[in-house]
Amino acid sequence: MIKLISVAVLLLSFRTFAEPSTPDLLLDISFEKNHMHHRYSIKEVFDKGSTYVLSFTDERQKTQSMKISEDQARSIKNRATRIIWENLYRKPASSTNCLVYVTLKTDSEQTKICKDNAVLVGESYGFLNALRGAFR
Amino acid sequence: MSTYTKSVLKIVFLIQLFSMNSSGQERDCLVCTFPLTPESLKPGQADACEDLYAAACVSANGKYKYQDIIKKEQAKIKKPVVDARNKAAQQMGYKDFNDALKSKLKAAGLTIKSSPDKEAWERLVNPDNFLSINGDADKIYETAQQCGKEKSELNAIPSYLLTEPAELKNIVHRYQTFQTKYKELSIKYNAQDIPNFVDQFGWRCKNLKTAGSSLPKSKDDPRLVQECANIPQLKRQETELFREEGSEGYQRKAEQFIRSHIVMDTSLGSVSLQTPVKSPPKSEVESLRDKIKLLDESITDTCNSYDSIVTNAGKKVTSDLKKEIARSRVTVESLIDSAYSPERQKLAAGIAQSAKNDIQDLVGSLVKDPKKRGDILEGYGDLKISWMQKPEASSYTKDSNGVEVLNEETAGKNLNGSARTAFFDPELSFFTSINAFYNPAGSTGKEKTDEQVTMQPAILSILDENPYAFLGAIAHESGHKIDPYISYINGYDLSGECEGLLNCYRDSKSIKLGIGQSGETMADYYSSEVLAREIQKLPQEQRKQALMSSMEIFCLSDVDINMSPFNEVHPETSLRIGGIYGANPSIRNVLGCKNDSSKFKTCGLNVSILDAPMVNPPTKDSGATAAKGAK
Ligand SMILES: [Zn+2]
Repeated sequence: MIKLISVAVLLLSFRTFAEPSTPDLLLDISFEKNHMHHRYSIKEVFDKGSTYVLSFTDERQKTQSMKISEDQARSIKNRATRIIWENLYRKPASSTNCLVYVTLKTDSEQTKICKDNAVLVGESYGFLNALRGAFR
Repeated sequence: MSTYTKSVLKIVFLIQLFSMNSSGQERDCLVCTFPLTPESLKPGQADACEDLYAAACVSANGKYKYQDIIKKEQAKIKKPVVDARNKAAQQMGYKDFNDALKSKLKAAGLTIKSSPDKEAWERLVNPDNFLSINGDADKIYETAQQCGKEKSELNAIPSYLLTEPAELKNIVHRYQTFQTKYKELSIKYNAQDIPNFVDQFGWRCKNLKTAGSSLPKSKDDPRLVQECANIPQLKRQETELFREEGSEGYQRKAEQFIRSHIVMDTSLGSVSLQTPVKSPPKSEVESLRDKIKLLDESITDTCNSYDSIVTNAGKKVTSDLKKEIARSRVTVESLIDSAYSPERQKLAAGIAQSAKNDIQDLVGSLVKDPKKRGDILEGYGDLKISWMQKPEASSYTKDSNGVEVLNEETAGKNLNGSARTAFFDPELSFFTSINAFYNPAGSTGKEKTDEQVTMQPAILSILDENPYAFLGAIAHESGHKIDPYISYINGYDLSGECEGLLNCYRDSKSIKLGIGQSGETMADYYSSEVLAREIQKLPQEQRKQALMSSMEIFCLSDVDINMSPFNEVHPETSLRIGGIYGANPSIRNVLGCKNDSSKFKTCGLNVSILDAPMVNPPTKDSGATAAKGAK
């Protein structure tokens, strides 16, 4: 079922890319572990009103996408925003020797979570785990 | 299959096992002393020699063999987390986790309905699917349900029948009172989560713009346009509030901030209604009726907006409680006790040793270069399986509620391995994802990490009932040490040694190996060699069942979505099982397969295992990578 939806969304976003308006990138999460690169993004696609597409690109550059509702997009983005704020405003991110665990970017803010920040690495792990779960 | 039938099968098997042991056929095989899974005894859709996947995972009637037990397995995996949360909640003075959550929600002004929708509540507490999280407010919270009820009452007023301006004014007043009430409540809930509020506000500002144009739409509220332009100036205040979250006086300050700076969603605010410009002058009654009509339409949005604000507030409270509980000493110790018992450690170490011995045996015939071979054999002696230890008492501190929790400040230094981060994930997903991994020696930040294999608790729990599956998994992870990529990192590049076999897997009659799958495929192959070596210690008639038992995690993952985020990309399950394990000549020999499968090309290295009868002699065109058979 999920596969069917992904195919439908891919076709839809493909069609939309061909139109003049470009999709807005609302969220972009980039994660690397043991030389594997994973990326999640939410794009707002304008096609007779807004639709939202959540995408996952794995280490082989294979991308899966699914259409999500505005509420779902907001809720996912909000979870990212909270981690970003905790990293940026609660405790200053350690700037020296930061080995990046995950990079989180929204349309207005971005941050890198360093591996030595055990608390936010743990929180991000749960978030990534949930995102990954959406594609199974 | 019923539990009863399963139990009977287990007993029957134990009797078989006993007679086998007493006949002296079992030779130094730790897993061989355990019963096989009931699923492996069910007739499959195909014979294991023809298609191991169809034999191990699919029933004769075409249904997944593990379909019936998947729910039970998922619950079993989650149980330690559920139990730990309840225990921690009890220590905090509540009946259990649900009771703690209800109480925290109530304290935040979110009273639970007397009989909340069970499924909606479950989605809040244990969000199974990340995306099924919205639209539940009126199923859980009294206040959201109340909004809907009051809205319906207003909608039901037959204002078109009223002719007295005073009556109509009274109705307008009722609508406005309704909107004011939910506006005030919204301010209260929004104030509890400033980053979310800012995010949602930004979302509204974003919606001001039409696609491809930065100009506001003509109907945009000019005050909102102005506030959106002010966003950058508000940032400092917002982040200051965020830092004060949870402190005394925070709530009042946050509410004040929202009230003074931000234009509320018009559906939540008092609607200022303009008379349409070109319409002819209307009587007072007509004007009031028009006003009521507009108000009547807008209150649907009022409750919708309110629902999502309430939903968010509830999720914030839930997440805060989960965060506190996850890092509490009670949870930490309860989870470590349940997943990392000394009995399990002993069994896991024994099985890991079998896997290492078998891989060392394989390396003996795979690696010709004596230096490389020596390095690898020695390296396997040092390979450890990570075992989480309870943090020392000094790792904890008391939080603002007096709960003993892991100290955030020192966690990075005091805690090791997975324990460093696992308890800071509110969902505790390290304990519920079916995953395992191999880490080469390296460094993470300032810390050096040892080379090790990590079997996450969900896989450790499989150990108790099905050590065959555990053997397959730990052999796979240990095999990564000598996969074509990691062997290079480890200082003994084996890509050359693997190339012939990988070529066989690229064949269209094999698994059509894709780019980036070589490491995973080789790890599966090494695991299949280990299984062949252990399973051959069983009597012939039990080997197929044992091999099928060892496939349980794969079969479950095919029906289950609860896998891990970092699970590398493998070939599809049916190909892994049928085309790698089932097509391994050592396995085929051990099973006594008479011919090659018509579905998968036989692919394996030219290695021999002791005592396996030769049933699959090499063919002329099989080349260097196909089966040469055992001696
Ligand atoms: Zn692997």
